[in-house]
Amino acid sequence: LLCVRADSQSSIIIVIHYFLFLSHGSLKDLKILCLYDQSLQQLSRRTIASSARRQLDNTVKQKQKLFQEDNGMPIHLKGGSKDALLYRTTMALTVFGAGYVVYELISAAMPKKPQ
Amino acid sequence: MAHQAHAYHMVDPSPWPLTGAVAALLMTSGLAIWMHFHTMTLMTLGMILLLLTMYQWWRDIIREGTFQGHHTPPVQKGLRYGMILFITSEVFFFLGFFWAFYHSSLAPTPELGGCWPPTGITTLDPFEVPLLNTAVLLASGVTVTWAHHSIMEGLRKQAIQSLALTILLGFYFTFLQGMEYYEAPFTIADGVYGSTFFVATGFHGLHVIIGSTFLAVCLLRQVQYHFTSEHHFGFEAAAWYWHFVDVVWLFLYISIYWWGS
Repeated sequence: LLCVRADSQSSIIIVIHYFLFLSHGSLKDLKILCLYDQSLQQLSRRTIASSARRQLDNTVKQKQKLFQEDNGMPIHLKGGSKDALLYRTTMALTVFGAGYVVYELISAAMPKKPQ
Repeated sequence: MAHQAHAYHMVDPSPWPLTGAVAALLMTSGLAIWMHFHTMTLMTLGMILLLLTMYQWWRDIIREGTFQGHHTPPVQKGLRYGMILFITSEVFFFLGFFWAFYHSSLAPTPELGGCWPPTGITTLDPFEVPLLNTAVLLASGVTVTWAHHSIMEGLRKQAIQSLALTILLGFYFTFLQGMEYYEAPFTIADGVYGSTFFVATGFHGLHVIIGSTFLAVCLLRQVQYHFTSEHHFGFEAAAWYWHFVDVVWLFLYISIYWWGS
């Protein structure tokens, strides 16, 4: 059902009959579901095939356009907001880590005297 | 927009050398802190930072080459030199462990019983799983060459299949070696035999994992149409590294597994 984006009308009808079948256990609803199942299979086969094709589409040209845009952004941020988020996270860990290691090494260098 | 009057690549300022250096500092200090105080926080933080650095640095190189066109023939030549020099440094790394092995095994001390393998060590049969491992890696060398020719001839599906097969063979080797490690009748603590065996084969196994990861990244890039039949240096670098891993195994097999048994 989640695959069938192409034909939303039939998917709504299928959902309605599915819940009707669940609640009433009516054979009529089951028959309608079976009829739709065939067309649904055809639909999902087409939809999955086309969405699979979309995943394997060649997007190199679009990426080339994005990364050759004359916007003065350095390469590590040129991809957009995801880049900035990842950069900020990495830098935050770097700064915190540098401070933490200095603290740990200093405290390791000053052992506590046993009581 | 300013245009360069040369074919070389002047890279944008990048934060990744700094984050990588801090990661190395955290991992090494973290290792010391772990050994003395039994907490892994610092070392783990360093490893996470290393992974983040590697991901973003190499992501940026792919952007610079494939999407911005900076990898001109002179730049590619430099990358080739770089990869060859790196692999050469790795050869010297392994040379050290082979030196250690031959130092101890050619003149075994009285403490070992004056013999090699030392008294009390039950070695692994070189004609069982180790031989299978040799066949697996040699086969993977064939499949990676098949993948290269497929890329050069523009055969997309074959390139994907042969590259995937190469990676699967790499995983199979790692799995088999893991089983061998689990079942081995000796450990790293069993004298110099255990030390030389597990340090040499252990570092080799790590390089198999690194090589498999490099090839997996190439598979993803091949699927995404990054490679052309004329320009696919990332794949070539991965294939060189994979052949190097294979050759190191052959030396390990002959020296430690076969002669050393």
